[in-house]
Amino acid sequence: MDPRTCTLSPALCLSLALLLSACASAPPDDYRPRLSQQLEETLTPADIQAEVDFGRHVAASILGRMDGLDNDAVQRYVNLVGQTVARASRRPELDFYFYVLESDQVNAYAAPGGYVFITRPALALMRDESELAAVLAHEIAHVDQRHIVRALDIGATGSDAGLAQLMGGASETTRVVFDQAVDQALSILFEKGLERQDELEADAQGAILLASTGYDPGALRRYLDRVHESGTDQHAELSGTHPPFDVRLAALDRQLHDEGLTGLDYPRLAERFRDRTQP
Amino acid sequence: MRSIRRHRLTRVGFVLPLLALPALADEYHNVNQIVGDRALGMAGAYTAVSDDPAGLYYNPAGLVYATADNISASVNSLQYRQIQYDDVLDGQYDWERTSTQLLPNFFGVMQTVGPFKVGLSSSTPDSVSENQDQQFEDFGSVDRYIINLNREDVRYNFGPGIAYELNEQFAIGLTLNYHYRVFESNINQYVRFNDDTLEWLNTYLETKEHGVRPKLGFMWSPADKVAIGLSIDQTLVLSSNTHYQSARCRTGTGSSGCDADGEEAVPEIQTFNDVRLYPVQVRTGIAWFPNPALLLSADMIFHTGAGATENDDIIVFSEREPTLDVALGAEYYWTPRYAVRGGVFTANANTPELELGKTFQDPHIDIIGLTTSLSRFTRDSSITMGVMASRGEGESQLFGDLKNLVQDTTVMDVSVFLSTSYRY
Repeated sequence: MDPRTCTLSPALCLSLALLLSACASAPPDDYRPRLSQQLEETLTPADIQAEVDFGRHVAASILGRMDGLDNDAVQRYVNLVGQTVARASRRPELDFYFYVLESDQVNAYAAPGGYVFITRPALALMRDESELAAVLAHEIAHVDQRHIVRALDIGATGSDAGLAQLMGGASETTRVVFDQAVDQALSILFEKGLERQDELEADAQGAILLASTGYDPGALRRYLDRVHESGTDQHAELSGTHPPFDVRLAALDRQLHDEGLTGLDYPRLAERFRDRTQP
Repeated sequence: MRSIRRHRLTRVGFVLPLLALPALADEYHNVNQIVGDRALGMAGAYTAVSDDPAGLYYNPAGLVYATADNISASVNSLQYRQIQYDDVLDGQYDWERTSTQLLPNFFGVMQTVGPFKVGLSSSTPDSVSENQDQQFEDFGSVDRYIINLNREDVRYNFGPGIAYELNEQFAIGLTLNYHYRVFESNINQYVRFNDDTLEWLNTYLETKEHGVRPKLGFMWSPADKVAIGLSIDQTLVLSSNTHYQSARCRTGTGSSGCDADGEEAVPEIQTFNDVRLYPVQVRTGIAWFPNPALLLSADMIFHTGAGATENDDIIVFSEREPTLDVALGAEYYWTPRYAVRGGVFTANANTPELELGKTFQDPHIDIIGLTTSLSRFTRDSSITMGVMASRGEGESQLFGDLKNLVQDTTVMDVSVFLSTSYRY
């Protein structure tokens, strides 16, 4: 409501305007958490090891579902680009691995602990190296933020402590729960998707990772726009496990503008990308 | 009309005709024990915060903003209380009542169940334990005067609560507590006069109440980093049982023997089933969360008045006046591992100010208190240690039928509390 065009009394108009503008303020979940909750983010060596071990099992299950691309040069190139971006990750304690999968779908996946996969059709839709780096950065951000670990329903919580207990257990019950957790992670990756907020967070952090690494921070926005415009069935899975394209594109536009990341003449490296991915 | 809380200790011409029983009880204040973990450190300014199990007590709507799916909190306090009445006997001898008690201040748990937050809490919102053992000699016409008083008054609340987030700005919650209160008082007084006559009085009073205390809470986030809370509750007594017995025995020329509460009858236990009326409590609070390290909050706590409960010509529970109290609190984290809290609160008397010329007046003492606490956090838990201190000055009329005699009264309360909280 604009007080200048309001036909009620000035005081009432101003009050309503303040009230309505207030209603658009940040939700309580954003400002209520206290500083002590940063400790919940603190990971012990056992937590980290559990995350890596769990991610390795999830990655093995993914490779059990899909073949890898039989092209060592492309695999090496993708891994090299991924390692470059991962150097700016918030999780220096993790070793990241990047692998191209044979699939009909346009998508990319990140298992906990640093295991990142991208499908061949997703690679085929890219125009330059910055777009490849952008997609990998988005997946690295999922690992950074432990989105999968948090989404797991282990002992009524998705805590890292719960995962460590699960990995350390030797009983039959623990093994059953562990298998269920792996299935749940695969379900999140291939069917349900992560929370919308997690995906938007990964987009945002991915753009920062790109800029930190020296790639064009608008690369993900260009790539998503192209996937959206392609209008083929190939991106059906990506649509099913991620927020709508218009939501992601609008959020990226806002972020790039707010953080001054538009109009930067950062490298895209189209020629090198073509040389390395199109033999 | 007489009150069962006034007890006769009489002898013609003696200075102590009537003794008021609970000279300072927390029934004369609506704000008593401050319960909760963080809430205690913040002096109870918690209605707009309430985002942990203590919200079940202050404002159940706040539970929807709990930052973990499962939280439990437990608080225990060690309380010392001292009440001093100036110049009670012969214009020069003070009375002093003290108590030390270990209280289960609060225990609460909460969980996420679908779209709801549910919880269970047990709290002790009011507890008094008083002891007086004093002996005075050779004043006025008295050779020896001994008073022994023991009194306990504890109120327990126990029950479930539920909260639901209507949208990003509004939440609603409900707590339904079971109310149990037990009051027990025993007074013995012995007087030997200079003429070798004796007078002895014994009074016993016990009340047990059962009831419910529903609390409805609302939480509104009207602006960025600001929350406003509102909660309304009232204790409704469903059944009450009061036993009262008073006996006086004396020796002397022409008036030897025993009677009941000043009446010429054999002492007997009287039973009353009349219920006490409790005020409606309306708590409003505002909290400001400028950053993750700082939190400031303020509460206004309004209690309506409550009518007296009478049985024929006997006042079983006396009338209470409306009160308005405030609490201000702050919380500051200087690292993620340590937080300090502080606050100030009032506990105003729900009785009228005393006036000379009137009889049987309840004590009127306004109290102000300070709280502070220090918490240490780990990833899943916290431990807290804190102190609460309060002091009040006012007047009492210990001998209810002496209309021109009131006593300056000072109450001091110091509590040390320990609490733990676990998130999982």
